[in-house]
Amino acid sequence: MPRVRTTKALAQRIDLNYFKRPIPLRRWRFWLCLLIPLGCFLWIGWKLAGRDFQPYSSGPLSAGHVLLTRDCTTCHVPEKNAVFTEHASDQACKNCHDGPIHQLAQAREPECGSCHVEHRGGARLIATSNQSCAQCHANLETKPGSSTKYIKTISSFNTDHPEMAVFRGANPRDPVTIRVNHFVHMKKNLLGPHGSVQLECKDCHRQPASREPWLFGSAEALPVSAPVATPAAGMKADLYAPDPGLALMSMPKFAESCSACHLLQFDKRFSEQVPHDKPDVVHAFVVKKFEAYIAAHPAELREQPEEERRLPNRPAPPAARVVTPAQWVAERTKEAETLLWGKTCRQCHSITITEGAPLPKVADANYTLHWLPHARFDHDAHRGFACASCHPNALTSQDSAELLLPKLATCKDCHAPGPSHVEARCFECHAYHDWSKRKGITPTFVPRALRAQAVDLIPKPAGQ
Amino acid sequence: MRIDETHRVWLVASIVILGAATAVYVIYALAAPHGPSGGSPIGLVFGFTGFGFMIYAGLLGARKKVPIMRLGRAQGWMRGHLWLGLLALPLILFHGGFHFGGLLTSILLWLLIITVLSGVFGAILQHYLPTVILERVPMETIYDEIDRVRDQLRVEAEGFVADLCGGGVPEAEAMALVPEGGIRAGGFTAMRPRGGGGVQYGLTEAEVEPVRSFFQTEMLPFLLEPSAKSSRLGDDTRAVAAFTKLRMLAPAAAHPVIANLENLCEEERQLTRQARLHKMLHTWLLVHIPLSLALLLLSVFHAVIALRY
Repeated sequence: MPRVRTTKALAQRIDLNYFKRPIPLRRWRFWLCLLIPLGCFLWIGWKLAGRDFQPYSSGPLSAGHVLLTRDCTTCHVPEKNAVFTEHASDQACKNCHDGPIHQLAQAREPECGSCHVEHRGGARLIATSNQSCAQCHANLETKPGSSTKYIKTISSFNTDHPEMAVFRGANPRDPVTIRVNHFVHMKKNLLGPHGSVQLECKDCHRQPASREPWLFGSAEALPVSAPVATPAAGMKADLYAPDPGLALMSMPKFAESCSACHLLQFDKRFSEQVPHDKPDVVHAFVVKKFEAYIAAHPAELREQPEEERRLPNRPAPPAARVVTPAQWVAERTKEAETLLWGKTCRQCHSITITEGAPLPKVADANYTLHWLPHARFDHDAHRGFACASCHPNALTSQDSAELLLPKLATCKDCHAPGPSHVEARCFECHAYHDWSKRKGITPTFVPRALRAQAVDLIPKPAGQ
Repeated sequence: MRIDETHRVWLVASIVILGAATAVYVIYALAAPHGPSGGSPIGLVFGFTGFGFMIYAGLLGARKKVPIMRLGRAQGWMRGHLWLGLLALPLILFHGGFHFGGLLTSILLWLLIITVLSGVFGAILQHYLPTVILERVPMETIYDEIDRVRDQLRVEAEGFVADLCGGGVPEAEAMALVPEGGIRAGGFTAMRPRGGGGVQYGLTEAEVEPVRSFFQTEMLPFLLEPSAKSSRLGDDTRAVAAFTKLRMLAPAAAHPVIANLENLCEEERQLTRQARLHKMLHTWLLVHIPLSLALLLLSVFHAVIALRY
């Protein structure tokens, strides 16, 4: 008898109350639906009860603020007239940070958080976006009644950034008065103090903090008393305050870079050289030397001058004569200074000899330390690069007034958006805050780890 | 639920919403000074819209609790659950600018990703598996009754063997298959135990011995534990071979009984298959539903905290 599977027979197998019985899958679902949300609820409650708001943070803090990770209320303080919100206000930033204004004439001052975005991880807060700057500089406006000398439409470095200000004129020149022929100095087999040499850029150009020995600085060279050139006029004096002495090249100094080859001898009677100093110092040195000499050698007061040493276009001295010591010193000094002012010093310096003036006038070197007064450049960050890769004309330039600064296009070769280029955002070269206008703050923040022992010792600001 | 042409409107609407949201996001992300942020006005719009979609998707569970209330067609709710729930993920990613943020927001985003992915997985299963069940389990029964039907199959098999070989299924055992206080379709007749009557086949003990032996050593263990992999009756091909061999050993008069036994084994295998497919079809809900509840709870908390700080 074959097996019967009619609908009725199949229906008869089913318990009509089957749906009332608990089944494992549904039971599991019920308990999971109960326990998992309950677990979440308990977790939230546990954190709230412990005043631990860190899990609710919208992201990790920047490297500079990482100490505040568990101290949300340091920045998130109730705002005035705010019932519910506790956003991090500018005042919370300024409790610890002195953020001086950018420009007095700026039309508006953005909020700290609009440029320095927190809770984005370990990135530096200083790494602001181009748009942060462009929100004003793309269409620069000033306060009513103010004007600006700056270009008014700059969106980013790689789009519409103008050429460096120093190149914008019709005939950009280096105002330096020191004559240096780079081409001659970079030639092979240049005559050095001990034979032929091949100079390198760093033999003359170095950062102030460089500790390498100077190959062409003479140990006997006298110290330079002239002050180092001050920053260019108009430069923000404190802009480079954190500069460790490696960012910019210092002014080449005679004693360090030149003295080994460029000897400052003034008379064959002396092996000493005149100091590399102002004319009056040099003059005093020469007079003193001759006076000491003639005192030790009075016989030379009767000595006949050498014919071959007679200077051209000067009357021939008498064949033999006797002079006083003062006369002898004056004549020798004049001869020596004629050599110095006319040749030795003039080789590099611009010297003006005025008729009747006792001493010549040496033009100020007018050396420019900061070519980019509103930007910063760090030579140390580029130390692995050959100097000529950015300053190619330095190898061939014969005119010291020629600008050897690279143009913006050279910078853009490397500084551009994209994965194969390096940082090109505004902050890489420009600083927003004018640190020369800093006011100073009285910090009140105590790190959490030190709070227990320090809480009673630190004076509280007025009103707290 | 099958995803067929009835979903076309939802599909088109979802694509339009996603396209518009993507366009807004791209423009907004390029213009935002520091990239997209959940706290910006557009970020908040994305966040609230995505949260609204999540709420709507979550309301499906509440809607199922009140099936008789006139709150729209269940299919409409289900389609909305599918498509708006799916859209919630890109909208929330736009809200956060594809950043995971802190601990809570990371947990939220992972919960959302797991919930949506499990939902997509479930939707795929719900689309294909019913057809598979229809084709591969023609002897399908109610899932919750599979264990009881199995017991009945075993009793039925014992009855067939008793008919052939003599003896019968104890009445007490047959009655035990009916749950206490249970109501069975078919009423009284369904409660009537079968077997024990003995159909005379005119076969000697020696002739029915192969059938009895096969039943005792192979078929009964299989019916008692159908998921055991050691039994060859659990495999279609090997089962056919086993019953073919049994037919060769038994006289022709026993072949109808053997056919019944083979049919019972086939039904047993189908029930095993049905149980497996049913678990596949519903186990993902163990992940989807609890996590979606946790997601909604934590999202509310996140919204409050984010708006406050």
